[in-house]
Amino acid sequence: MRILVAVRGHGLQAAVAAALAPDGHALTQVEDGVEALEAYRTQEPELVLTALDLPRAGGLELARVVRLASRQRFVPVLMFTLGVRPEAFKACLEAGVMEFIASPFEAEELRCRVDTLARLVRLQRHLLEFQARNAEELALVKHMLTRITGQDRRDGAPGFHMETLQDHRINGDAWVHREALPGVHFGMICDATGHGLMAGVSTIPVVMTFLAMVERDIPLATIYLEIHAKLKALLPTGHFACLLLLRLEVAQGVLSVLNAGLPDVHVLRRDGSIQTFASAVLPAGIRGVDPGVAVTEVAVAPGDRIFAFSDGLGDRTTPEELRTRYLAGPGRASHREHCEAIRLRVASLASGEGAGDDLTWALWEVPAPPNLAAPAPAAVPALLVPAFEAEFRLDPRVHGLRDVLPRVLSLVMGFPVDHGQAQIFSMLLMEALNNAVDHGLLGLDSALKARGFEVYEQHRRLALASPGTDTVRFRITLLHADGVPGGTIRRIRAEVEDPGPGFDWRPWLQGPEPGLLPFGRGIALLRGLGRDLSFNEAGNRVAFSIDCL
Amino acid sequence: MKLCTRTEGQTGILWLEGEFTFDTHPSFKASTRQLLDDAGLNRIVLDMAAVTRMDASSLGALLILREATQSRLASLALRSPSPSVLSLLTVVHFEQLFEILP
Repeated sequence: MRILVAVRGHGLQAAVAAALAPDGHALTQVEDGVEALEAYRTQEPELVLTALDLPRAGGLELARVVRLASRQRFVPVLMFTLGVRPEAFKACLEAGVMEFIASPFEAEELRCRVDTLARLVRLQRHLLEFQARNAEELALVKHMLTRITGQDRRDGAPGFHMETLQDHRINGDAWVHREALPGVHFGMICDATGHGLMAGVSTIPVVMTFLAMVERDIPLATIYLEIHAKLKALLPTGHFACLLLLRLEVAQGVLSVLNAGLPDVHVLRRDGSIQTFASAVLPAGIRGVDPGVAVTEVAVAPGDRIFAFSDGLGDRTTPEELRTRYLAGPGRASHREHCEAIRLRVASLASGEGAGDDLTWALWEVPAPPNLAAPAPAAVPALLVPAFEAEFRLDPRVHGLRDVLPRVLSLVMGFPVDHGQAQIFSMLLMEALNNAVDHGLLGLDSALKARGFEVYEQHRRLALASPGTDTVRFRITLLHADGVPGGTIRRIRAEVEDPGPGFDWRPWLQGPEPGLLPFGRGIALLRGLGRDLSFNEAGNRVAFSIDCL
Repeated sequence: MKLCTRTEGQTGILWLEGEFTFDTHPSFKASTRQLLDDAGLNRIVLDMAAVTRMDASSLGALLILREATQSRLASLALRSPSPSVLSLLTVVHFEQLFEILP
């Protein structure tokens, strides 16, 4: 260790040097208080030995300086007690002296006391290193979570506000919003047990599974069971995640809620009434349990608001405060003003004492549905002719659907076409292409989805990685009224063909909706939102249209 | 948190008082280990009437204890949780996992 020996007298200096020499410490020896202060500043000793009677600046002053600097660097002070009166001990302790030794002293005793203080210094150094590593790891996990959830994007979807107020730690909360398909909004609040790295690491698989599954508009119950299975496999006993899953289908005006261990979800109607949805399912990830799953569906109307929050906020809010400060009727303030009021209230909670857990909340406002024109036959002109037609070939091994489809949609949007209907067409085309790629080109069995989403995705990734040259063909035709050059597009037609053997499509067109099955929803959407849905005999070519007026 | 154990026949009772939070896990673990190691017991009851607060990590501690009692073929029950504690247990539906006694 580097030791500053600031004592008066050559005799005492020599005795200290002789006692500490065998241990190889590097000594800086001064006999003056001012020199001692300068040596402390320039030599950065790890331990200070001093005495009260130091000339010009006493040992007490030196101890005080060392103590003041201790926030940046911990340096213990040992005081020689030759001539120290009892009342001076108190002053020494208040000045930060940690250890005393009588003078004259036994060499072995001095070595032992110095050794004890050296262990303390090493311990403190290890603690600082651990804290620094921990902070770095936490920062990394926070960064990853922010990027995965997209919380670093400031321009979130208007009307779908979600937010977490967090202290310097990670406390297990995460939120996600995705408009997976036009007019279909998914949301999740996750609260994993624990703090710090454990909580952060637990949250990552939850968020990633959720994001992957909502892209396919998979039912909430299936998403929950997949997350539950994943956490059971990954987490040790005693760790789990409370979840709130939301799905809002704007066109149908339906909100689906799966609340697994979070506080009540509130739907605030425009008429001022409030509907509440309590937790109905076990948190995800509890081992040794096959949880029952309950999803509640409720009709919602444009302007209704959905307010949800994690227990960090729930624990610090009384029922009265919830009613008066958070559940303000939608008719009295805009969504933006409502969010601002909540944010101010939450910020005041975070600044108070005991702020530790994350404070997560969400306020959604149900938007007006897009114009789902289903015109009566009399409204359709007698003759529609192609205004524009394009045929494409897609190799999913080279380009993903998510990369290609926006470009196709922008091509369609370049024509005089209703944008809302164009977006719905995009959604239906995505469904048809997904089916063509997965089942027609890659040969994946729909029933594989029943074994779990992750299993299905693994097979899909393997299939995409296999060599092959087959492609999916699709054609888009924009139709307008005959004799009206440059006229508004009245209908969009699509035809999708894959190289596979096809399938028996008849039960899907004639049977009931697939309900909670993890597959079959694509055809249901085509049936429900499109028109003129038809398959060729083999079932490897599908055609559908959507009216734009 | 204060902890006290006693036995009544083949039932080991752990009485808890105060805040059952992350900081109290070592003492909780030690007390429950004592009961689990007693070969003469086939049931453990946690008396929670005097528990003022629980956090998520304590819920986890209950799950760990549940797994340990199951592996020893013993039963586990939570007795007389306070209203605030019962409210927490209900939100996370632990009534599906634990026998809750009045």
